[in-house]
Amino acid sequence: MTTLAITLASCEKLVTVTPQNSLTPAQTLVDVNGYLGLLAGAYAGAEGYNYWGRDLIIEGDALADNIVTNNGQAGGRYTNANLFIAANTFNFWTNSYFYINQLNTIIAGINTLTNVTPAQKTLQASIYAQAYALRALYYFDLARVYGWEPNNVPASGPDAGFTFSAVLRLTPITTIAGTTTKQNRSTITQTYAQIEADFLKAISLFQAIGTSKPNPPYALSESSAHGLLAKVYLYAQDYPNCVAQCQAALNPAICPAVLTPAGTYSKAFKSIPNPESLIEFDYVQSVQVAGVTGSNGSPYTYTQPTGYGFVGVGLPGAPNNFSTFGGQTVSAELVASFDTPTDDRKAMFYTSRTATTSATFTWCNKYSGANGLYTDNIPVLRYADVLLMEAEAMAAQGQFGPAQALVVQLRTARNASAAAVPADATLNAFIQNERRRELFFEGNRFFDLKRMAAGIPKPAATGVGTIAPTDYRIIAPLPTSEVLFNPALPQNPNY
Amino acid sequence: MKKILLTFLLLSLVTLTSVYAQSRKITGTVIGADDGKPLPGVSVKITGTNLGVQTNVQGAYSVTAPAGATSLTFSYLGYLPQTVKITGTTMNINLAPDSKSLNEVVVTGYGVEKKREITGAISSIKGSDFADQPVQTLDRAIQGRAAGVQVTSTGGGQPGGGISVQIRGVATVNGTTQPLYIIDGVQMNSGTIGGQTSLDALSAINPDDIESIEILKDAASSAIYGALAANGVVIVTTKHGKSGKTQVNASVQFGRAQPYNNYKTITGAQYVQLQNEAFINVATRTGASVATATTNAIASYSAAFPGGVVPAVIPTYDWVKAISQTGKVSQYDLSLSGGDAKTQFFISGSYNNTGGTILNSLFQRGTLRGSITNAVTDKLSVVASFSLTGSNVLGSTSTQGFFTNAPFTGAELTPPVNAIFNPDGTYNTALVGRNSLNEVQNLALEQRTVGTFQTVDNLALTYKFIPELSFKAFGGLDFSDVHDFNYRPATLLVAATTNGAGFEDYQRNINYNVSGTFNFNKKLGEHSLSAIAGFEYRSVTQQILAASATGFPSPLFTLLSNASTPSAPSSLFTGYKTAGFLGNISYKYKDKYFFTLNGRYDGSSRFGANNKYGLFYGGSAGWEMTREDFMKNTSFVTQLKPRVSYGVVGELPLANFGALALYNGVGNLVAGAGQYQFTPSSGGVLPGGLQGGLGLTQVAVPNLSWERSAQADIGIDFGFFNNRITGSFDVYRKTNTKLLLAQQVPGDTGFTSINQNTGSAKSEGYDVLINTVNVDKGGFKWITSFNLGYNRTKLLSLYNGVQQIQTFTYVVGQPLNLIYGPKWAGVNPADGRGMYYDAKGNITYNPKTADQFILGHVNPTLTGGFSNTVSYKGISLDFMFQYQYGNSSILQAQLNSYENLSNADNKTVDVLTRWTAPGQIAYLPRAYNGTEPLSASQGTFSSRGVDVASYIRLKSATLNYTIPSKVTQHVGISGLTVFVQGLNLLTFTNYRGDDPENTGTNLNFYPNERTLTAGIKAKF
Repeated sequence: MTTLAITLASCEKLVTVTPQNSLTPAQTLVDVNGYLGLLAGAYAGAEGYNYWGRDLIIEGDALADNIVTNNGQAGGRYTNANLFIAANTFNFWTNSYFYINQLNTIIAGINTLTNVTPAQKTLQASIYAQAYALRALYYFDLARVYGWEPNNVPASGPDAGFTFSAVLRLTPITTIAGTTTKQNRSTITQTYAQIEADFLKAISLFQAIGTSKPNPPYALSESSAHGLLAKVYLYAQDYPNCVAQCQAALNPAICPAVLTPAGTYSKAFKSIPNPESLIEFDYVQSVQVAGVTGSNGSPYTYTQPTGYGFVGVGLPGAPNNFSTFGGQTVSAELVASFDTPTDDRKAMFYTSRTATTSATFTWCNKYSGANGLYTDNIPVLRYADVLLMEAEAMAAQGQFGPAQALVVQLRTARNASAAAVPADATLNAFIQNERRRELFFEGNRFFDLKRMAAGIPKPAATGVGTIAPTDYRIIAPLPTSEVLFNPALPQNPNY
Repeated sequence: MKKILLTFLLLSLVTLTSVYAQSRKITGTVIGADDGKPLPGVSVKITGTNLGVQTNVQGAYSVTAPAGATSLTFSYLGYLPQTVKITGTTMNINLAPDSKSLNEVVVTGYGVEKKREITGAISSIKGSDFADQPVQTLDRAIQGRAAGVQVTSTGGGQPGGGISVQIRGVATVNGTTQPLYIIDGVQMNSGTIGGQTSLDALSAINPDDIESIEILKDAASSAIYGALAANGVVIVTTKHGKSGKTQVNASVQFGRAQPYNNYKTITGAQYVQLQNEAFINVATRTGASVATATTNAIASYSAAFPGGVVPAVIPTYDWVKAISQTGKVSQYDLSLSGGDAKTQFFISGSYNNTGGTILNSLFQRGTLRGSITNAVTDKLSVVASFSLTGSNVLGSTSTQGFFTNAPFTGAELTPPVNAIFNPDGTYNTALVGRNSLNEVQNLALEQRTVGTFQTVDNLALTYKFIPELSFKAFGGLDFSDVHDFNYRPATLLVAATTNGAGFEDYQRNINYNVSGTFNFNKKLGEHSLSAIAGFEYRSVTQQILAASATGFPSPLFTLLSNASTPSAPSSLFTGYKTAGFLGNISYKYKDKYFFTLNGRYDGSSRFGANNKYGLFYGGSAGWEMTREDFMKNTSFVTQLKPRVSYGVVGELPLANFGALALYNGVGNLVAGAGQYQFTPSSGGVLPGGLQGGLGLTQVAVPNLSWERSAQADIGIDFGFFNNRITGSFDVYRKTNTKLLLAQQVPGDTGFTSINQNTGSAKSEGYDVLINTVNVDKGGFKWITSFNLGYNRTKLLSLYNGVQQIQTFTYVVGQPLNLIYGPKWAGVNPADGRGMYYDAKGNITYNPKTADQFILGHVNPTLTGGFSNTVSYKGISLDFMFQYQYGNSSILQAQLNSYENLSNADNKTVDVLTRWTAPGQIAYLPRAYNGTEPLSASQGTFSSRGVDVASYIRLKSATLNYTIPSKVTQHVGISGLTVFVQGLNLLTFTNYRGDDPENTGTNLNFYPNERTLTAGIKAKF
């Protein structure tokens, strides 16, 4: 009998191969470093080109009125998104949940470790806090891409009263049994409440660690958690809380960013990190953008003319050796939105032909390969954005004076006329235009237009006209396979 | 009915005649000339009549010959029929064995069986059928030669490139569809090796070294290979020495390979006209200025012309021609074979140099193979084989798809107004309408090679305890080292920014199997029994080391160490193991009833923890009817053997570690390299530098097991008219259950699917093989071999009530591998926009997800081949047709580009049928630069991009002339043959893509070639 047992056991062993490029759960989650790996993975996931690495920031403008996608130059990239053709918008639903699951694993597990040395306690606490903040960021992006805002649900049209938002998964799934349970989408209110709770939890955890200023700001911190939460409140039109969070974010004791002085707007985007970044994703060219990765998919390759590049303000582009799929050109409307010719931000534009056509286009030099070949860092939240959010939230509450002061503070730092800034109800609209002038090609325009529910105007060159604020295409479709598998999710209307 | 009556009358007349004529009684015994033993069941007939008897168990017969009878005909399966003049009343006959058919044994796994006793469905191909053909790999050599075996190239025309072999259709969704290959007992790795271009792993073996190939098609035959056998087993036996005078065979051939059926693209003038239309149509639609649109259109291509001015006569540059070349083919083979009674040897060497039809593509291979057989003592014998193969393959990327660095994409899509060279002879890299990659320059300057060193060796020791019982210890090795090399010098624009880019990897594949088997054989009167029992273990591992670098000081430095910036080092390991007990029992009674049982208890590292081992089994039976008394009067039937078989075999899960919970590097910028850059002070407390990112990529599946494939087969082997007509017919049904499915789970769980055993599918059909000697008279002989496989597949079930997966590629109740998409409704004659049908059958310009239909499937209903040999004296002509019918294939290249009138790519002449004016009934929509508002993009997949890919192809033809030996003997040559031959000579098809021989889509890939060679072979 023993012999038989031994034989069976050795038969099992005879056909066992241990993987060497992967780890089993028992090997991974044994110490703080394992959890740090999960956190690094979730940041790396957020850096993906179909998410913060490109789509959220460039397509967020291509869907609106800042970009004209030139078909002959774009190699098919965003040509449909720019025309607002259904089902050709953002697609990071499934990918996001993969990383959310890793963050849930951190949140559920890191405090159960029994072998944390005193020296590692702060690291443990920091990973824990960042996991909450990063999860909130993932959910916020899911909420704004795949659903409407709390006070912005269409009253008519196919999306009338459609209040579904993200699927809220808050506990880790690590077994087959866990993967089989279906869960439907939560409401907008529930989703925003969860995002708010996560940011608040992260903030309290960061505060418990102590006052610190991340430098460079490549990881989420108390300051960026405040700033991102401010954006959540702004989208939810909770203006008093928005103002409070903006002010907390810019508290010099914790804020890693400054407002760069006049004449340095372009230079800031050439600096690593951008001095205005509260949180910025860093890309290491030799590791993350090596090979064809950058030349096929980076923001640089989407926004710079193939074979030509920026040489100086007011000069046409000059030939270089960089092949791109650059077809995301600056719309005439964006150029025309500037009221001051000397505005620093206008110097970000240049006109150039490309290697494949002698026709010239206007290009944006925000992504100029500042961190290596085809490589740029992505500022997730900038000082100027927070300033404008604070101004907008104040103006929305009728506090036109302080709001005007903030806009003037920004415009002064951009060499734009301060006199143009109104101090009455027209300031609301002025701030939206200022956001466009400041934050173009950073993926805010589409979401600002969406939450303002004023329709999405498209550049005349696209021939599309204005997209009605209730148009079903404004919220992206969930992946078809997901809704076929679980129709009760449900899919967004009309897809 | 009339005929039968007539026959009956005639028969009656014959009988009557014999009764009334004077008759003699002739008796005698028939013995086999091979072993001197009496032969029972021999048919003894009065020549020219149907009168006759059979010999009894002692080989004796007694027949009454009518007065007019002059001779008797003796025939027996496996022996040469003999007609003997009646000389007396006692006639004892020595029947000589038909060495060809008697010795024809079939390798059935761990033993051999006589062909006439086979009870399973096995196709046999002789090495001589494809000897000296300019094919580089054995899997390509079997194309068209076995019923129910579909062979398609996956590497296109890249010499030595990958091949897909599907036996009796596909009944799996995610499992492998490829058979298990065994070469002299060594279980081979198959598929492709090397990453830089397509190279068939089986290229280790020179097809000329092959003696025979057996394809075990039914589960009862393949059950002895257990969990590896679900897609059939291809057993290759290489040549071994024969005792006698040493024979030397030498052959050499030269030839050339040319591309054929390239797409016909439009001229420069047609291109310019098309672009103008495309821009102007946009302006008209959006209400913009037509004048501006015209200016922009001209700007989009004018840069191609000198001074940026569009000339009056617009030139056309043929890029496809520019990347093509005539490949030179040369092949040299030499073999020696001989030995004495105790020791036999076989040694062969070959060198093959096949140029591809695209610039800078080449397959070079040298092989050395030897085998030695030795009887150490009366009881102990040893067989050893070894081979060494070195190959060097140059080629462009083999990956199908629209990669701009794949020449068959880049060149075909480069607008014809672009000159290939500048006036000063340098490459033109300022291309309009394409990114600035000059395909000709890219091919000329980029270095892409795969070098391999492979060896396939085995050693078998057999010890005979008693004549009935022996033990065989076997070890086999399939080893390969593969070196991928890629270098792009700074002179190429794509690598200019990095000052050159290099990549290298080394792969080591170690695949070995060892086994010990007992072999038992016993004959007791009319019963014979043979049995095999043993154990086998196999281990397969792969290790890869790879690195890249940029910054080369000079284009002449190509190795990574010369570069300034190394990057992306990687080190990978993977592997799997199998082990199992195997057994076989064969029993035959009276040489006419045959029974076989096969079984294997098999385990694999790919199975989940709860299912490490499984039992696989099969049984078959056959009945040689011609040995029965009631058949003795049907002399025209030389063989009639119905067979029946049933078996259950398995298929391994596809992933080596698919049953385990795994954390992997994640982050989706660069595959497998998830890192995030923290800095020492990020957040104040994080450790510095890059941190590897981790994520749980799969959960454990402890119940994961094999896919279960059960197959029933009913068949018959037949031979008529002294085997002038032979063949077989089989009907089969293969039902796969416990399918290895990636069962979808909600994406919001963090996973998209879990590997599970669930669902079922079936594949059923029939295989026909008919070999005939059509003419054999006066030295003129014409023989044909015709095979046909009919197959249909059906998905029976999935899981949890799910009716379709992979976006309707698999739908319950439908054939497997469906093509699904919107239905094309033609072009609106009023405005030239493309129309589609929506789900309700109404016209729509922008089909939604719901507006999709099943448009076809990619499985051929009929596949097969038809080969002929016509010979007269020393001249012979062999030619083979290969065909398939009933499958659809996607015209991906047409949809994405060649017929997509919304972009600046070059087009095929089909676009000349586009809509240009209201009222036209056009095949293609109007040109429109970009996507029309409220319309689907022109590249949208629809039924317009699906074509039936049936074809008949004259795959090969060879004309041989053997110089009479009277002439050659004077110079010491016993045989001298000269030959010319061609491959892929003619194709008949309605498919609009470049080549209907594809695996379901014509996504750009290396075009198949047409090869012509001439050579000479000599025997000493």
